[in-house]
Amino acid sequence: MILKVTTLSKYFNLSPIFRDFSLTVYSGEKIGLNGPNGSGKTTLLKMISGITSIDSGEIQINGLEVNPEQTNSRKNVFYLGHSVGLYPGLTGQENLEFMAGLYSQSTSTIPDILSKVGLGTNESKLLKFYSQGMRQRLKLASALVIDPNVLLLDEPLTGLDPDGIQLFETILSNWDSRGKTMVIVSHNLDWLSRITDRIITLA
Amino acid sequence: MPFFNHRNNLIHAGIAVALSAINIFIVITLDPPNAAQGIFGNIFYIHVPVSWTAFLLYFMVMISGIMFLTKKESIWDHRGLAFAEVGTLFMFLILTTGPIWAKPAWGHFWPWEPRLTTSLILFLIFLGYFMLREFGGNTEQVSRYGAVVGILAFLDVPLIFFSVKFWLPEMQSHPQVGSYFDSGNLFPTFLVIFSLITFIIISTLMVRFRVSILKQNNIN
Amino acid sequence: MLVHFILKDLKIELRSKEIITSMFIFGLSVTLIFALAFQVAPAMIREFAPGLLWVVILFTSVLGLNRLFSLERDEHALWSWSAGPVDRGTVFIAKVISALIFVIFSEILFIIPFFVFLNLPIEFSFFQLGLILFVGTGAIVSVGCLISGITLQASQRDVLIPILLFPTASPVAIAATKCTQLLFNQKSITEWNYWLLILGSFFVIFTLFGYLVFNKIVEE
Repeated sequence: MILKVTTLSKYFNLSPIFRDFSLTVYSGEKIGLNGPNGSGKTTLLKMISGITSIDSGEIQINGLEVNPEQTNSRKNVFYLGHSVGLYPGLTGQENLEFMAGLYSQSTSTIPDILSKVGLGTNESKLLKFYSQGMRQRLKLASALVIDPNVLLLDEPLTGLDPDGIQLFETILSNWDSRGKTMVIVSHNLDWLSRITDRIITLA
Repeated sequence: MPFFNHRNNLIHAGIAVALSAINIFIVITLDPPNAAQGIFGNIFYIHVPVSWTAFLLYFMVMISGIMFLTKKESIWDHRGLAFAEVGTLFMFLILTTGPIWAKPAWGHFWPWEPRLTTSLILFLIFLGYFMLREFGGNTEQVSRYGAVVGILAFLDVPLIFFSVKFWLPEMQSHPQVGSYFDSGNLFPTFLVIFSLITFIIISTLMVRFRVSILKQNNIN
Repeated sequence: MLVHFILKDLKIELRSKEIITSMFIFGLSVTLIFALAFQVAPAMIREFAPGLLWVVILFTSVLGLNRLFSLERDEHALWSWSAGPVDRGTVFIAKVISALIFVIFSEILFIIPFFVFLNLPIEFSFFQLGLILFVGTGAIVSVGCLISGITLQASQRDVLIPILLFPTASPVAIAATKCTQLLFNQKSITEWNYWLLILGSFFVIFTLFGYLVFNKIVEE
């Protein structure tokens, strides 16, 4: 087992988003998360990645507890959120080098990765001048640079053109063949049921 | 009110009211401590104990902050906020009784002496604390931020005090409790301690009342 | 990791020059306003100058800290390290060092116009002035970075940063002004080392405190 959520509770302005929520995700599994707006899908991913704190309960990744003091648990998990989560004042290449440094990964693969995601000619362009689709591709590139075991994907197809969707699905199947664990949020139930092993619907 | 349905709270309130009545009566009817200041000198019996109570309350904000950050129990957040509110009210009383006393005593309203200045600065920090509580984010976030600011404020106290103390050496020093009075009579010191106990009991009653309201809001 | 973060901030700033430029121009404007508003005899200006200098530094620091932390808010860039295997205390220290570099750089730029507009004689050691600027600025940015981190998610952070920072940093204002005043009056360092100690203590206490609590306040 790789990801274990035990009796998790989270409140927002005193209203419960999660109350005693539990979830186990096994190594190599692909889980879909579905539900109406405000049901806590993004919050759950952010809690697993360590961006948002939990009020009670526990989240463990490979036996290591996820909390602000525990940096080791965050080594092998990566969150691809709604926003690009990178610095607008740096170029795509510089942002990836920064991320590689945080996760102690090599920077030699970055030019290849940028070409792979279709951003090869944009190395010197600042992130703030990227289009929505380009930002989405850069997020994918950062996931490829870090190469974590657990991927948390929040609406990964947003802003991607048909080529971008094709690219993403290629990368997804590569991750799948390498046994990566994934938790994917999407409103597209048909797409989710096609690519995931099981779907959890949050109320 | 549900708070007063509990016997302990009712007894607490009764003691607070009784002590306050006795305190006010003695302070108003007692002869002034030194003839030069007239009746205004009696404000000393309110100003000094209110000041000690306010600092004690702000110290409790710091303790509540530390307990909240380590234990993550919401009761410590409620206590911290309650101590901060009552403490700020008492601090406001210092800042009003101070000038009322200072003018007849020293001829000007604001003496810029260490303790009064420290009180003013702490008061301003806590006004910022309440603004942060209001505009700082969602309820859970501001509980954490409030705890940190509560600790930060009290960590600042010795730094503020020691910087103001030697800032303007030509300023008069604040009189000490023992040396303030004309005679060697111990009764004035006793009265200050009595007032201090009264204010502590009143403030703990106010804090408990406020905590019970916050807990009730939390449940609802 | 510390160097990694500092280099990231330096890289962004070297490219945009936004933070230092805005601090320098703002510092210059405030200096101009002071020079116009305090058009009294030159001897009076010399008495006010140390205080004016530190007011300018405090105001420009608020601007710089706001911009420095906005870098993390734009596009949720803080996700990169708050979700990453990074000790958040280290990120805090990196921010303090980055802020110190930017504010000191802008001080070097506006200090010359400051002396020119206010017609101040230069009869002191630049090394000693540099020491006071370094420790005093460090004291301001240590607590400033903590407050900026606390207000990162707040809707009114532009207002909350100065409201919380100015009273908290009042010991810095007092001690730094005293150091600078004694330096300008050509007193030896042994006469102002007490004030330097206050600044140094402030710097150390709040850097340590920020390092310990930063992981509790940075989250969405």
